[in-house]
Amino acid sequence: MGIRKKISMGFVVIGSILFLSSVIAVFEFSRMRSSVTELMTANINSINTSRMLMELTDEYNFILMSRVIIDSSITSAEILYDDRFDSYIANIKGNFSSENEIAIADSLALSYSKYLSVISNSRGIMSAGIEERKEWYENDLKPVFTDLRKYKKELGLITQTALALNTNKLQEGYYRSIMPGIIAVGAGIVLVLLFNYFINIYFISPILLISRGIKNYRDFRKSYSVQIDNDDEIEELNVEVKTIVEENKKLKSIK
Amino acid sequence: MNLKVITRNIGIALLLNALFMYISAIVSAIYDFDASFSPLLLSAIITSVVGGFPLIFVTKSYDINIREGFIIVVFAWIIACLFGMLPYVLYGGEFSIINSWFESVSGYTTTGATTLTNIEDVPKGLLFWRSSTHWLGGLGVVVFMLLVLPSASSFRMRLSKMEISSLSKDNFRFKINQTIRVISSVYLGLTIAQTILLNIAGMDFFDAINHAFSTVSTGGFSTKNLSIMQFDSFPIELIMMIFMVLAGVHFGLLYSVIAGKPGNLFRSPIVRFYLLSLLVGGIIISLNIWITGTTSGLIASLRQGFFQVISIGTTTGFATADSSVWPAFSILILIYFSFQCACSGSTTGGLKADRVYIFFLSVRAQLRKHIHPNAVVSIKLNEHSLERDVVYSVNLFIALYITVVFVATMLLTLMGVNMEDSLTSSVACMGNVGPGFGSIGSLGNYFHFPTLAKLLLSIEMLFGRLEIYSIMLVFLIFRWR
Repeated sequence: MGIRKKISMGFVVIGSILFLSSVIAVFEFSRMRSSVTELMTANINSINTSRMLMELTDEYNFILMSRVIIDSSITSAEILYDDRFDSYIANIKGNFSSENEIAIADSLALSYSKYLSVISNSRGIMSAGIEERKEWYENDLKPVFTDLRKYKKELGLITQTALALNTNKLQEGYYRSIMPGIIAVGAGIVLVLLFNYFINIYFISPILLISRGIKNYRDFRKSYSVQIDNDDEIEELNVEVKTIVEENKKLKSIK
Repeated sequence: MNLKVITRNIGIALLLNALFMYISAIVSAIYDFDASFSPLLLSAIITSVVGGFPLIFVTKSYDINIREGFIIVVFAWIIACLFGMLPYVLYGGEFSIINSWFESVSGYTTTGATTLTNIEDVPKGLLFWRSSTHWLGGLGVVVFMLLVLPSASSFRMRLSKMEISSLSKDNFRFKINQTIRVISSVYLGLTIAQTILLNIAGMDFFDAINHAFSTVSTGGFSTKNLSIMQFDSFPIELIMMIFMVLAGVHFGLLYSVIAGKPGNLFRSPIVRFYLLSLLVGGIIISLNIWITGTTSGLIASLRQGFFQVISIGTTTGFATADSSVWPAFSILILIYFSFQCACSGSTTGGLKADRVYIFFLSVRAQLRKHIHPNAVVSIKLNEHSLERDVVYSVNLFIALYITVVFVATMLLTLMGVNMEDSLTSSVACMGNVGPGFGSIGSLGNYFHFPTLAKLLLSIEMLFGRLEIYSIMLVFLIFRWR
């Protein structure tokens, strides 16, 4: 292989590694960006859903309280039968992937509909006596509300766990996005060092040897005996120099 | 010293590693492009580019001298371990930088010690790469190099002296070219045969090929958290035991068995000693765990006792039981086997049965000498009298080996590792066995070890694999005359 080809190939390889590392960096960082966006969206959705569920339940509790205190005339159909809760539940289920998470979302939906059903009877209960109201509170309202709270709490815990997992994923994603770049750059540095080493031993050192050999011959009449173990033009150059030196010797002896 | 030839040969070793990385990436692609695909592919590209770079400049192959031979062997191992850790580092997860290095060195040196707490969570492609490092290490990076390099015979001789224990060449006088052919054909043949048999016995193909890689190289990496215990199958255990025993025998002898001379196997006193020690060890441990009620029933005791003895005695490290909870007597016998290990000329580590046998012969000769002070007592091995130098170097090696184990144990205790873990991990890593006892038992791992301890143990693995002297000589290389 000739010098030109060797050096060109060396540069091509180093260039390829640099190109590869930049491609990897661009690819990994764009993947990181999209995964961060996805994670952030999922996290915001989860937080919003939990918050809205909390607000909704408070709203219903407030209605119930108003009925008890001021015997409000607002009908349950006006507030209780909207589709907000159903859309929240659908939203949660859309974000969940494991069977356990979906089961909790279903349990929450079920406990919510039971709660609604109990609440819808509250108007009739208000006109009943204290004992009957106590019984209704203990046996009907309290269990369904406890269930609803329990599943809301579980859902909150799941959301928090998901947040922690997402944080871990984010850290792992960051690690995975940065490592290929570092390794490719490291490999690039190794190649540059190797290239420098090979240029030194294959091209610079032989040229210096030839130059010193010629100088020694010219200045001190030392015989030219440089040995070069290459398989390229440098070796050819050395052979040519040897021939010229021999011819020069012959010419001098003729004179 | 010709640095051109050193870089060229190390480059070729890296190219062979890159080939297996590409194969692992293909395995990953087969399993729905699992999470290890891009780490493996990227590692393969980087390794092949760096490995191929010296070949652009060093186009000629040169004859090499002994000094270059030492440097090539030692640095090929270290650099292969460095590049071999790339897929782990890029994958991340449980693989921190030090864990990746530990796993890579453990793979190449066929130790089989792991830092993974949940092996089954690792993608298939990476598990295949992990087993491949065993297979590559077992055959020896250098032997691979010799197969692809059209080099002079003197070159091969020098390298193989480092790679294959010189004692094996004293025992079985193979020409070096023939030795390389023999090792590679026996190695490949055993791998294929075991894969097929394990597959027939009920293991799926992926597990079968991974376990075959680990068994033939006497490594011990499994694809399951519970190692072979996971399969709970006697046929699988039996196949594993047979192949572990075979992998511990000198490959030249195995070749002569395949070539129709089965008698050669039992004519060798070393092999007889090796097989007899496994048999006696197996019986004693089985009886011990049966009598102490550690296992239920004699059959179960024999099954577990023999499996563990063979696994530790061949430096493989697979497990069908947690031997850490066995009686102290059984544990001590297993620790003895972690020192003795199997025959030279195989891929096993440790002191080697050859040296232990010669040591016992020299002790007997010394006793005779005491009884008959004027007698000329020679130490004979297979009808040949051993030279004093050979016996001296064997005993010196044993002393040096034990010194290294002891020093490493002391350093580990200094790092806060408890006494049992320090001693058994040092013995297990030096002997390339893998599991020790205590928290790093057959079902444990090295994850909880301090970073420095992992680094020390990985150096010990390299010392054990390259039989101490090679690494020490490289440090003294510039003082050679």
